[in-house]
Amino acid sequence: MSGLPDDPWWQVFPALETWVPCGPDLHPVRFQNGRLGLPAHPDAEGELVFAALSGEKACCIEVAAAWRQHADDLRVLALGPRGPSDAVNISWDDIQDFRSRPVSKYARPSGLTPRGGVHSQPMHPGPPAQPGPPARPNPPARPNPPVHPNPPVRPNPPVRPNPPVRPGPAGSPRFPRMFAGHGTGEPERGQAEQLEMLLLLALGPAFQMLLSGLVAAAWSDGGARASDRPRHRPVLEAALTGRLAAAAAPWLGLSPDQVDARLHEGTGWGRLELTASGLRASLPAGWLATVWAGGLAVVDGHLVVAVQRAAWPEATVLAVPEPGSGPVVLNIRADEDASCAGDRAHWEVTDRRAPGAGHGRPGSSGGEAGRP
Amino acid sequence: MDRQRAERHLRLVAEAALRHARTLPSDISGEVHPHDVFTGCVRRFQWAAAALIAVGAVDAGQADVLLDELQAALAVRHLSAINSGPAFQRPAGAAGPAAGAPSPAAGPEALTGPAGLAGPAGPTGPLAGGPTGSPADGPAGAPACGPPRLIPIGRMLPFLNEAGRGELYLMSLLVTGTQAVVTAVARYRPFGRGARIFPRPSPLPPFEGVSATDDRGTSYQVYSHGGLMRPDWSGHLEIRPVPPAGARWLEMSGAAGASARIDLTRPARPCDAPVEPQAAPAAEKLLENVAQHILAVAAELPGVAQQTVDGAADMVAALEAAGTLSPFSAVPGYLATVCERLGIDDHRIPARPAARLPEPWLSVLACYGRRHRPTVRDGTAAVALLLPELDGARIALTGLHTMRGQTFLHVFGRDLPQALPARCGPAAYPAFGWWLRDDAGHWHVAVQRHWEQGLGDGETMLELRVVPPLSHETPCCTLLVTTRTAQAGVHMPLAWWASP
Repeated sequence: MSGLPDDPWWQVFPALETWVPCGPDLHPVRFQNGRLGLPAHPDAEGELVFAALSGEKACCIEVAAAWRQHADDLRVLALGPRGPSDAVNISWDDIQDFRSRPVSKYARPSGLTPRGGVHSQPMHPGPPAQPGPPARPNPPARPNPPVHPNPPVRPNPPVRPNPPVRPGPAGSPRFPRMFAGHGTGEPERGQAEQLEMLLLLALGPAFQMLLSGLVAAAWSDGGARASDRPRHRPVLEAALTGRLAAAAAPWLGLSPDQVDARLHEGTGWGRLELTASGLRASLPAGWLATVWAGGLAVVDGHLVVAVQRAAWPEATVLAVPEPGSGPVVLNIRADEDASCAGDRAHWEVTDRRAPGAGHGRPGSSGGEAGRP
Repeated sequence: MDRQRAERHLRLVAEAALRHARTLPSDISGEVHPHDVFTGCVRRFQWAAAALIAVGAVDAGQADVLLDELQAALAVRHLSAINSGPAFQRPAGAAGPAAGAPSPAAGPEALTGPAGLAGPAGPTGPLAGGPTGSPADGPAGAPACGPPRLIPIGRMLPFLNEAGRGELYLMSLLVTGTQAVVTAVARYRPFGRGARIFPRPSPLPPFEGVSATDDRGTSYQVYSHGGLMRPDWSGHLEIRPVPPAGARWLEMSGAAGASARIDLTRPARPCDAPVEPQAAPAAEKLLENVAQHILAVAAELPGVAQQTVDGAADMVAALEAAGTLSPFSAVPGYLATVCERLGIDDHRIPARPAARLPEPWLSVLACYGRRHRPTVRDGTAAVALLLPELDGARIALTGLHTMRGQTFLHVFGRDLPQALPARCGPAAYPAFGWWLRDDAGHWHVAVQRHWEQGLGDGETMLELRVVPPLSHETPCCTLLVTTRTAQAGVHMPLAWWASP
C-alpha cells in the first residue's frame, strides 16, 4: 500500500484562503484543487521571470516560489506543527523584522566567558522597529466553499534544483539560523531559505498543515521523492513519531514519550501495538499526508490509519478503536462551521461498518493492531 | 554501528525536547525563559549528540544541522532565544584527528557544549617588548613534525607590578618547532594590613615586566596564555620567536633584577615505558570518561556533577539506540553505582548499580567517604616527561602543581584523537583516560579542565584537574594513560621545589 489513496491526498482539505501583505495591499493566497493560486497575480510565472531580471519580487510571488521550492523539503516537517495544539505563529511583522536585519546579525556570538565557561545566550531584542506601515495582524485562513467535483489527480511537480534566490538583506536575531548550510559556505542561501520558510509558516496553521502534507506526499509511494525515502528514514520516522505522539498519546492516555513510530513499507496500512513500554506503530509515510495533515488522526475515539476515499467535507477512513481491535470503516464528515471557527478541520462520524463492506478498496484494510 | 539508528535517535531526542519545551512554564510576560529551554531541552540534545559524535555514529556537522533545526523549531514557537552556532564542529586546524568518524572541520569556534566546563583564555601580551633579535640560526629544537623538546625548569621568579606582587613558578619549556612555551603558575601575595588583601581584579596578567633574553643577547617577546583565578594564575608563557637551536640558555627576568636561567642544552629524554595493547569499545571508553568527570567534580561542583549525571543518562540511551553500546555492558552499571555512592539518587541512568567497581574508582570514592580528609600541602613540581606514542598521539607532561588544595597536571598533546571541541568535556577526548597512583597506593583521577588549542597544527595544551589532590609530600606517582587501543604506565618522580 502506498499510503496514499487513489484520490488525491489533498481532497481531505477544503479550499483554503489566506491574505498576504503584498506591497501596499493585502492579496489573497488560495489553495484549491491541489494548487496554490494567486488571484491578484494572474501572470505569476511572468512575474517570476520579471523578478529574476529586476530583482524585485512581490511578496505573493515570493510565497508561491517558496511553496514550490519547499514542496518536498523535509525541513518543513522539522519546523512545522506536530498537531492542532502546536502553535507555530509567525506574523508578517516577523517577516518584516527578518527582512530588515543585516545578515551579519547571524554571526554566531561567542558564548564563552573569558575563562571559557559555557553559556547559552538569550537572543537580544532587536532595535526598535523602523517606522513603516502599521502592523497588520495575520488574516485568518478560511475555508472556501467546497470544491466540486474533484479534478483529476495531479502528479506532484518534478523536483528541481534550487533556483537562485535573490539574497535579501535578511536576518533577525529573534530566529536562530535555521538552515545556514553548515560547511557549504553559502550563508546567503541559508538566509534566503530561512526567509522562504518563515514566509510559508506565516500563512497560518491551515497552510502549515497543508504544506506538511504536501511534503509528506512527495516522500510517499508515488511521490516525487519516494525513491529517496530509504536514505531519509530517520527524518521521516521522527516526523511520524512526533505527530503520532501528539495524537495517540491523549487517545491512549500515554505519555507522548511512550510513542514510537516506524515507517511501514509494503502492503496494508501498517501496525499498532501496545506494549509495556508504550505504543509501537508502523505507518506509511502517506499517513502524514492523508490522515494527519487533514486533521483526521483521531476521530470519535478512533485512530485513523488510512483514508479510503475523500472528497471534502466527506471521507471514508479505516480506523482503529483501540490497539488490539481490528480496524473499522468510518464514514466521516467535516463540521464546516466548526472548521471555519477553529481554523482546523473537525470531523464527525456519520456511519461505521466492518472493513470490506462497502466502499473499502482491496488491500487498504490490511494491517495489524495488537495488545501485549 | 548503525548510523541511521543514531540519526533517528537524535531526531527523536529533538522531538522530545520540542514537546517538553511546550510544557515549560512561562513567566509573567507569557514567555518561557531561554535558560529553561536550554537546560530542559537543548542541553539534553547536546549530550546525546556529543556521545554519538564521540563514537563516530554521527558527524559533527550533521549534529550541528540537527541542533539548528531544533533551535529553529523552538524559535518559531516563541520558545527560545538561544543563539545557535555550530556547537560540535571543531575549528579548522585546531586539533588532531577525530576519535570517531571524520567530521568536517569547519566553522567558527563553537558556542555551547554539553558540560559547563571552563575554557581557554586568549593570549595577552606581549609582556615585555624590547628589540626582538634576529635568530642567528633558524628556529630551535624540534622540527614542526618531529617530537617536541621538553626542558625542565623548576625555577621561581618574583614579580612586582601595579596589580601587586607575587611569584611566578616556571615548570618547563616546551619547544615544538613552531612555538616555545613555558608552563607556569603564579600566586599573588596578599598585602596591606594583616596581609589579607589581594590585588583588585586586573585586566592584565600578573607578569608585565617579564622579559626573556638568550645567551646571544637576543630578546624575546613573552605572551601569556591562561586564566587569572584570583589570586592565582596558571597557564603558559609563549616565547616569541622560538629560540634558535644553537641557543644554550634562556634567561627570564622578573622584578628588581630577579631572573631565572633555563638551560636549553639538557632536554628531557623520552621515557621508555612499555605500551600495552588493549581493546576497549569506544562507547564504554566514553562512559568511563564521563564517570571520571563525575568523580572529579562531585565534591566541589555538585551542580556540574548533577548536569553530567543527567547527560550521562542521555548518553547511555543514545549509545544503546545507535547499537554502539552493548545492553550487557557493565559500564552503565558502574555509572549508576558512582552516582549512588556520591548521593546522586535521582539519576536516570538505565542500568542497575554494579556490585563491584574498578579499583581506581573505589579508591577515589573512598576518599570522598572520609569524614576528615587530610589537608594537602601546596607545591609545584617541575614534571617534564615525554610519553611514548599512544594511538598516534604525542604527549608531554609539562608540570604539576597543587595550589589551595587543588592539583593540576599540565599536558601538551599533539594529534590527540579528538572528537569534539575541548569544551565538550568528557566527550572531547573520549579515547583518553588519565589516572595517577601515588606511592601509598591511592588512586587519583585526572580530567581535563582547561585547554588551549591552536598552538600549532593539531597541538593542544591541557590542564587536568587531579582528584583527590596530591600533597607536597608525595615523592612520586605512576601515571596511567589509557586509550582505546593502548595503555602506558609512566613512573613520575615529583620534585617539589617550592610551595607557592
